[in-house]
Amino acid sequence: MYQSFEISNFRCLDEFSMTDLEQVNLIAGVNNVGKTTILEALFLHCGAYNPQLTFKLNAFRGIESIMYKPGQMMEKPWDSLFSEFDMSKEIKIVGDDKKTGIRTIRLKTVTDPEKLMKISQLIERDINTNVEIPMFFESTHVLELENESNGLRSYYQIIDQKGIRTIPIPPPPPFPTIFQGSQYREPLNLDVERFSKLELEGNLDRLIENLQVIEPRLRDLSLIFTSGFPLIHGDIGLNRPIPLHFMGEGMVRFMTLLLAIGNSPNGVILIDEIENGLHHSVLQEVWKVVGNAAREFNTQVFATTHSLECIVAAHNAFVEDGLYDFSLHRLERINKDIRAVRYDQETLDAAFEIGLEVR
Amino acid sequence: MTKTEFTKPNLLLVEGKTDELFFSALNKHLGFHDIQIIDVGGTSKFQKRLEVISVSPKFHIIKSLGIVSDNDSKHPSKTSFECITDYLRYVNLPTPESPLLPKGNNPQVTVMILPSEGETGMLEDLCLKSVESDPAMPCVNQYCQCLQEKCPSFPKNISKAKVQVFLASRKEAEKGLGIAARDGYWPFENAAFNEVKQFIRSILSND
Repeated sequence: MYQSFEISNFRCLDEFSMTDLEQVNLIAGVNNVGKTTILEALFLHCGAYNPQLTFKLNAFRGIESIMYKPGQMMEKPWDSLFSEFDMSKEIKIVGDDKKTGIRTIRLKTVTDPEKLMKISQLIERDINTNVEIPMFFESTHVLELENESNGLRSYYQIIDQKGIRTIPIPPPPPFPTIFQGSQYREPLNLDVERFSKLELEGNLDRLIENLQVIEPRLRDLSLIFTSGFPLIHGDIGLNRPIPLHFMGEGMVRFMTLLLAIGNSPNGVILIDEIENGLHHSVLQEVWKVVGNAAREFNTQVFATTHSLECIVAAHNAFVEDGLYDFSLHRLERINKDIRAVRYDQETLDAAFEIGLEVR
Repeated sequence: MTKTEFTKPNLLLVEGKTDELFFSALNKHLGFHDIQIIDVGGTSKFQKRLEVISVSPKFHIIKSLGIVSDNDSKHPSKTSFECITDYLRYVNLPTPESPLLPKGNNPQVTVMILPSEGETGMLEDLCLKSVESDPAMPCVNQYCQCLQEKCPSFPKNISKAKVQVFLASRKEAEKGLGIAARDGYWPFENAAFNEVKQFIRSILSND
């Protein structure tokens, strides 16, 4: 579980830190202040070794793929990650995590010919061939991810005429991490896979009970093949089960969130605009379920919101729980700097009592 | 579910709804429209509320911060002013050395103790002072004295009781101190209000 982290030169965050993190963390703030950016930075840090995750960030933003033609002047998929698109800077993300301790990752573009030569040799060793790889011409681009935990280790994302490669093959991340974007929906088969795992672990009844917060008529869930693909169906008392994905955006997002938490024990869940698709009347119960699930699976949750109703509902839900392993972090831009203001139970109480804005 | 945001460069923190209404009326009387007033409740919650105010959105636009507190400290060894300065220190805001003496910049902080630093009491005492020469006051005092002698459950706060009785003597009786201020029942031109008017002007002077 992250206790704190720092971000440098990543998108709009030049120097930024968040401290005293809880099991569930809600991030608020005006538009374009860096809420999603924080989730993205955490996603990269959780991945620990894999520079290819930078490509996924574009997909989370709704840019599914970037056409890249070697030799043409074009932005690389990682250019936008650097503060002010300045690739001479180094992105640095430092996280203090209870499980893995303090880990630092750095992202930098590689342009030094000597270093590029070394990477070339690394590729040759990696593919175990003596054939020279013609990668050192103008249209070759390399992003280095340097991981500093138990020594330094670098992984390279390479774009050249041969395509896109990651060298060396990165190890699996230290813990599972799932990102639920506001515009991005993971492939249905991932939901199916996570659903099957929960069912195998005997957690199906709990899932049904939790989803009843949004759809009280829900009696049962099952996997049914339609057109050759398995889909999660729900029985809501009609003459046949219906695919959950037809029950509305809120239902799908909530199910995806619960499946994500249940499939990320000791991991991290990142949710952009958690309130999307959810009616205000269910928000408090949704937060109770999220809090309980996060505790049960020891999953740390980071979510963003624009909604005051969502913040109030979360506060009330965690007050009722009595544990209050929750905090609100409001991002604020003052001149060029962006800072996070942390609200605990007492400060949120005080803010609501006076009627102060907390978004 | 609308929420208060800081919209003006001058902010006045007061101890309750009554004070909020009173100072709104006084500002209007003085022709000052650039002071935002926020009711932070009683002194017991003041520290946490001051803390959340100091980190709230757009607090950085505040150039001048005024704080009004009754001189009725419940602390065993500290005056109301000392309690307020402790709270200010806790949230890293400028800490004035004495009441009515502004300190710091962005925001400049000024504290007023009611009815005044050397005098125990509250806003009610200040208002009563302003109507000392009102023909109704001898009756008000006599009535309250009679009650004190004959009724053991007489309200422990004599000033609040006197304000109620005084307002009951007006043409439109159903008013609290704050509404009475709004409706012009307190003579703001009276010398009793000079210090509080000076305080309000000092908040604006940094604008």
